[in-house]
Amino acid sequence: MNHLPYFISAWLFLVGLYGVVTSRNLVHLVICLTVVQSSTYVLLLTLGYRLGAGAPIFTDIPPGTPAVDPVVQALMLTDVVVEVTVTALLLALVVQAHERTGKLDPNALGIIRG
Amino acid sequence: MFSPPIPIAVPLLMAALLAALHGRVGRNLAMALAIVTSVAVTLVAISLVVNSRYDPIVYWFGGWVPRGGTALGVCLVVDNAGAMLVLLTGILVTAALVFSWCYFDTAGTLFPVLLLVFLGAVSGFSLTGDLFNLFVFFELMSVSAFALCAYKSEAPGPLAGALNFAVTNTLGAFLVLCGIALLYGRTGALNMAQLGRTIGAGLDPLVLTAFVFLASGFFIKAAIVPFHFWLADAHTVAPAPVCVLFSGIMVELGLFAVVRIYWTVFSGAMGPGQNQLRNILVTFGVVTALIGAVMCYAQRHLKRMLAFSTISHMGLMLLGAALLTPEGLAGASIYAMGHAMIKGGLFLGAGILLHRTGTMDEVELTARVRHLRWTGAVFFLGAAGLAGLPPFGTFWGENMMTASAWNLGYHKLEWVFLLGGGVTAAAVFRFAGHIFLRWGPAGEEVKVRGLKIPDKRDTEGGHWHTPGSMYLPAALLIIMGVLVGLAPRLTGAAESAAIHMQDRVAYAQRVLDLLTPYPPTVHDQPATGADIRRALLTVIGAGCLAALSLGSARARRVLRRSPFMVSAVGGLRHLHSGIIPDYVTWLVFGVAAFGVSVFLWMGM
Repeated sequence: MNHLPYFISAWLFLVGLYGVVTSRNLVHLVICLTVVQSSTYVLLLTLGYRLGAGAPIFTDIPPGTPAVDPVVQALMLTDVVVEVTVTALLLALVVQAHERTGKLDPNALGIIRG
Repeated sequence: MFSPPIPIAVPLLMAALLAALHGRVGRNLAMALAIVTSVAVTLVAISLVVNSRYDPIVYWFGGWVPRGGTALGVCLVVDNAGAMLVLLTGILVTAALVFSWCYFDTAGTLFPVLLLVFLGAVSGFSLTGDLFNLFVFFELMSVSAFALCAYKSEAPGPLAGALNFAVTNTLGAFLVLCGIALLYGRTGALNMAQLGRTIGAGLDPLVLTAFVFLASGFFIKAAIVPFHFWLADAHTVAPAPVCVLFSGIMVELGLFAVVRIYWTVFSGAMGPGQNQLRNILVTFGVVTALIGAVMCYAQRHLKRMLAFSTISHMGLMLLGAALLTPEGLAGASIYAMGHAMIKGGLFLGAGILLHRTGTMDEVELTARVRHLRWTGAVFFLGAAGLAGLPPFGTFWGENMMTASAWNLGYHKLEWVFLLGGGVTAAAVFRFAGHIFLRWGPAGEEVKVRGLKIPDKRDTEGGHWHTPGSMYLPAALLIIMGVLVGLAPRLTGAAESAAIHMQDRVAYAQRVLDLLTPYPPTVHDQPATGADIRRALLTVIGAGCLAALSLGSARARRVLRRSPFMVSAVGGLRHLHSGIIPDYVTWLVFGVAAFGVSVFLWMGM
C-alpha cells in the first residue's frame, strides 16, 4: 500500500505519453501533456507525505508536531504555475493553427519535413 | 562589484515595463530600451567574468546563508563558466535586437519583451546553484523560446514548428522534474552543493534513475540524437534573429546543465563507473555528429541546413564534455563560444537574404543575390569557421578536444571531428558558391534535392536595400568568432574554469562552508603543426566536397543515386516527418535506450 502512489504516478506518466503519441486532435494532445504533468505532482506530494502527520501550519499547534513536508507542496504549486503558462501558450498555438489551416490533426501538420 | 542578481532582475523588470507600456510607447523607443538593457547586462557580465576568475561569487537570496554546513536558502553561484555564458547571451541578444530593428516590418513592442525575458531566464539558468531554480529558469527560457519561434504566426509553418518544439521540450521538462523529485526524496536537499555532499559516493538505482531522467530531459533541449527532431523544425520557421539565440546559446545550455549537474551532484557516486559512462556518452555524441552532418548536406533550405549543422556541432561538443576530463570540457566550452558567434553570423546572413529576396531555397536564390558581396563574405568566412580554420575559436576548441581524446585512447574520434566539421562546412560552401558565385548547375537543371518548404517571409515586400543595422551585427559576430580564438591565455583560462567546474568537493566547500578554493595552475597549450595541418585539411576537404558537388554532374549523380545515399539519406529524411507523435516515440525510445545502457554498464 505504501508504494501505490508511486505506481499511480508512473501510470499517469505512461498513459499521458500514450495519449500524446496516439492523439488525433491537437487539443487532446495538449491535455495529455497536462496528464503527464499531473504525474509529477503525485510524485512530489507522495514524497512529502508522512503517515499520520498533519498540515504544516504551526500557528496554533506546538512546534515539533509531525507534519507533512511543505517544501514539496511549494514545489508543486510552482510547477502548477509553470505548466499553466506552458499549457496556455500551447493552446494558443493550437487555436492559431486551427484558424490558419482548419485542421486539428497532428498527423496532418507535417508541413516541415525532410 | 556588481551584484549577481542584476543580469536576471534587470531584463525581467524592463520586459515587464515594456509589456505594461505596450501600445503606449512606440516601437523604436521599445527597441532602444531593450538594446540599452542587453548592453548593460553584457557589461555586468564582463565584470562578473573578471571577478569570478579565481573564486566563485556566491550570493544567497534573502540573506539565508547556510548554517552548520546545511543550505537553507536559494543561491547563485557565479563561476567563470556561468558568467561567460551570460556574457555570450548578452552579446547574442544585443546582435539580435540591433538586427531586428529594421528586419521586421510589423513587429510590435512584444518582440523585445520576449527577448528580454529570454535573456533574464538564461542568466538565471547559468548562474544558479539550486536545482529547482534551474528548472524554473529552464521553463521560463523554454516558454519565451516557444513564443519567439511562433512569432510570425500568420502562416501555418511557424505554428507547426513551434508546436513540435513545445511538445518535445515540455516532455523534457517533465523528465527533469521527475529527476529533481527523486533526488529530493533521497536527500531532502535542492541545493546542488548540498545534494553532491549528501549523495557523496553512494550509488544506488534511485540515484542512477534520477541521473537518467535529468540527463535525458536536458539532452532533449541539447538536441542530441534521437531527441533532436524538434530543432530542425523550429529553426526552419523561426525568424532569423531568434535562430541566432536558439543555435547560439539555448541548445548549449542543455549540455551545460548536464555537465554542471553531473559534476556537482553525481560525480562522487558515478565516478567509479566513469569509463562506462564515457563510452555511452561518446556513442551518443558520435551518432549525433554524423547524422547531423549527413542531414545538413542533404538540405536546400538554408535555415534548415544551418539547424542540422547545429545538431552536428552539438554532437561534437557532447564528445568533448563526455570525455570527462578538464581538457575535454575546456575544449567544448571554447568550441561552444566560437560556434555561437559563427552560427549567429550565418543566421543573420540568412536573414539578410530572406529580407532581400523572400526565399531561403537554394534553387530560387541562385539568380538573385550575386551582388550581395559582403553577405557572401560572411557566408564563406562562416563556413571556414565551422570547419575549424585556425584563427577561429572553433579551431582551439577542436584541438583541446582531440588532444584529450587521444590521451584517453580514442584515436578514431579525430575522424568524427573532421567529418562533422567538414561536411557541415561543405554544405555552407556549396550553398554560398551556388548562390553567390553562381557555380554549379543553373536553376532548371537542378533536380529536387530536398523538400521545398513553403516560406513565409518575416518581412513584407521586396527590399532593395539592406541597412547597415543588419549588416553590422552579422559581420561583427563573425569577427567575434575570430576574436574568441585570438583571446590571450584562452586555453589556460578555459581549462582552469573546467577544473573548477569538475571539482565537486571544492564547490561544496565554497558554497556551504565558505572556504575559498585556491586557483589551479594551468599552462596554455600552443597549437602544434599537426593541429594546424588537420584544420587546414578539414577546410580544404570541405571546399573540395562542395566544389565536386557543384562542378561535376557525375559526382552529383553518384551522390544522388548510389544505394548508400538513397537508403541512408532517404531513410533519415523519411524519419524527419514533422509529426509530433513520431518525435515523441523517438523521445521515449531514446530515454529507454539511455537508461538501459546506463544501468547495464554502470554495473547495477
